[in-house]
Amino acid sequence: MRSLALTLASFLVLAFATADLPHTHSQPTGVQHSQAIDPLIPPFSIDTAADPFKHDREALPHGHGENLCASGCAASRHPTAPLTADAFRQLLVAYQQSAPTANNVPLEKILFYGRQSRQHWLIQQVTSIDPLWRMVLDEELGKTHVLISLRILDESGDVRSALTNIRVPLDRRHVFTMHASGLQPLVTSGTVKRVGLDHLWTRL
Amino acid sequence: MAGPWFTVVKRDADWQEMGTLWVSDGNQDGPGQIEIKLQLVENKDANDKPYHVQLVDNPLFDHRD
Repeated sequence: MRSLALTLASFLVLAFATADLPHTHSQPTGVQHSQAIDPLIPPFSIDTAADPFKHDREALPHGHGENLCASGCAASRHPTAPLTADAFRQLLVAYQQSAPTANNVPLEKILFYGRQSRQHWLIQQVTSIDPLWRMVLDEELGKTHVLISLRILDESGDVRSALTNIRVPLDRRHVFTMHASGLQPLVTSGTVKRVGLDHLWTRL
Repeated sequence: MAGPWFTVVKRDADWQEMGTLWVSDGNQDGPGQIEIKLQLVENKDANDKPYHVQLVDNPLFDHRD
């Protein structure tokens, strides 16, 4: 009986901690996985040593989707294809054949591949590349985050809920805390992916 | 509940409309719209603590990379 009570108490604590995860500002700590937990809200831990991505307080990372994807369920069904070293090298050669603008299709593709391109670029930087083309790639591949702002306007044009310049990494689903004015609190979440020099794909 | 919205947004532009929704505070309600603005930035803050998200039991899949 005592064992049953302890098990039940553990389950209740675990369920409460997990249900509260997306709504709190405090950094969550790891909890043990249980079949009782909604599989779409998996428990996760924070390792502060491994990854350079950073988010603001009003945005919390929240893995989601059928494969527990960090980018969210919509993105997990349309994954970005792998970019091989050879393919990146070919893109790099083609990139230097025209001006580094949005009309440069190889540049658009390099930026679409995001972190894969960034990792290849760190390894494959060729000394023969023109300084201007190099500078553009350095600058653009260095942009790993977005400042996201959201607002809801009513029919009078008044702002009823807003989120202002909240920093999140690309390709990571986050849950946002929006500030409301005369409106019930909103739960907003989504992912931003870069798809070219000037354009970003969003799912919110 | 509203959304989801799938939108392609231009970087560093002014407010861009994502979609429409119904706004109600219990007393008044009417049509509204949701807008977005995105600015691409580097992650420069040397003093920021980096973080890495990982499931307790499994590595977090990251198909968007």
